[in-house]
Amino acid sequence: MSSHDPTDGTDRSTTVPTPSCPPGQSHRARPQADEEFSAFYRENIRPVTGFLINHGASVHLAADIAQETMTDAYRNWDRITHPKAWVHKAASRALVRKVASVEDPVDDVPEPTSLVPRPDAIAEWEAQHDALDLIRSLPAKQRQVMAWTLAGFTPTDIANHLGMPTENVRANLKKARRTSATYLKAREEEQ
Amino acid sequence: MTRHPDSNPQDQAAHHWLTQHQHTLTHALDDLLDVEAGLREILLHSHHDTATENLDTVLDTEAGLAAILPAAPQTPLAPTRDTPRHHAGATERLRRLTPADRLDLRNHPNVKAASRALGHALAGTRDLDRVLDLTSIQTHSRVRSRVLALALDLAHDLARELELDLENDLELDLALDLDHDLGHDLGVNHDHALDLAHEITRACELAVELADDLALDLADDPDGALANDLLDLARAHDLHRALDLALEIALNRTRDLGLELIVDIRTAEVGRAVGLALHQELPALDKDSLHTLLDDFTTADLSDADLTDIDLSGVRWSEHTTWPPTHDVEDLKTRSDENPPGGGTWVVRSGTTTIRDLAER
Repeated sequence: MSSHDPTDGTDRSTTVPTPSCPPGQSHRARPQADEEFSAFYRENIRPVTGFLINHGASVHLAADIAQETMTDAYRNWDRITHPKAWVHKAASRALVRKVASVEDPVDDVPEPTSLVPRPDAIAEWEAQHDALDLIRSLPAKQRQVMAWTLAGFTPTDIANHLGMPTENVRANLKKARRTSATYLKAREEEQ
Repeated sequence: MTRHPDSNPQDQAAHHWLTQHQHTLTHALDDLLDVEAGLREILLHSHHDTATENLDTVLDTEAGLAAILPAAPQTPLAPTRDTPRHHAGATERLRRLTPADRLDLRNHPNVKAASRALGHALAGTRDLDRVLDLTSIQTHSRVRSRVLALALDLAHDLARELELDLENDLELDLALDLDHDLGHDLGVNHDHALDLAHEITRACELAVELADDLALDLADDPDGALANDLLDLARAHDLHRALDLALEIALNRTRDLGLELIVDIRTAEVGRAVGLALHQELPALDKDSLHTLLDDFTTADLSDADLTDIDLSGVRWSEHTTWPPTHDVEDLKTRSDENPPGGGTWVVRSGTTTIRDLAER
């Protein structure tokens, strides 16, 4: 199990331990848990959404999964010691399940949600970020490793979370970067 | 970011580009994501779960569940009708009442009053007029309709009976009588009198039919003696008196019917009073079930019951009843009637005498 969890201060094992009761069952511990979670959510909801977008998910799907994952994190808050790794791992698995179950994508604009109140703005936004085209064009495993890397995890972390040898992670990462470099060069030559 | 990429410039450029992309992506999501709204959504759902948990303090989950689950198996307190699904829990509740609970229940003021009213109805001490006054308009209408139906039945019986005894010259006799009475009163001539005689004959035929039917109806009835009188009158062609008697019989029968209705009503009132005392809606219980619940202590264990200020009037007990150690059973026996005689069971008489009358011993 990796002990390295990048960023700062979100490793709850180094903070004051929270009373071991799930949210809702101890009214005294509740405000503290809410405060901790709220800070974590504000810090990480966008990176987690971006993480899923980098995996190849549409912005709408990424936001949905990110919100579901954060909801699960809140419910299990007292049992999670490394929340950032936890949500990234859970989100990644949820995306795999969702992609495996989804049939042909629907073309109509998705319904607004709390997290994404203006789903119609997604298409315009996506058009402004051409790196997405690159990332979405990568093979699945390279895309996955790249997404984890861009989220700040080391190859060792990634190997632990994804259950694959570290060398495989490095190899895929290298390939992904090489593909990116080729893509970038070609783009510059076109301009 | 973490490790540095390879030293290849192109790889470095790609690394830099992707890193920039990541920063841009994260910040750009600010335009699309309402972070505070997303956070509120999660926290609100969780707070709702907590509020739902707190509802346990005001909701009786088990009672609600019992109201939904299928009916429990038959018990000695099985109701008269098919048990609705929502009465399953109530029947089980009744079955679990201890003898002490049942003593308290029968002494509940509302239950006591309703039981007393039922007792009077069973004793048949209320006459029809009072019954009709105390019943609802609907019940009164039902009784009245029943009286009329009975009277019509009797009329048919009488007509049939009269037909059997009619002789051919009855028609002429009647015509002559009619001529004398009705002709005088109504100014009809002799020719019309004969037509009227035919009508009366027809009425007599009907009266005989009625009397015959009534005879069958009342064969085993306490009013059987009256029925014989009725037939005698019918044979004597005394229609007026026969119909008067028939109506009296009908009213007697209607009184009995009315009392049956009142017993049913009073039984339901006792059941309702029990339900109110237990704070639970009960299925309809017949008077036998209510008697078992409220009065039958012939095998009850009352050894731990507190009989202070408990009115035992109407309690049915036996040698198998276990009374509290301090309770004077011999004294209770003197205040009870053995019913049936020699049967080994007693019913406590009305009254609240609790001190043993030593003078009689």
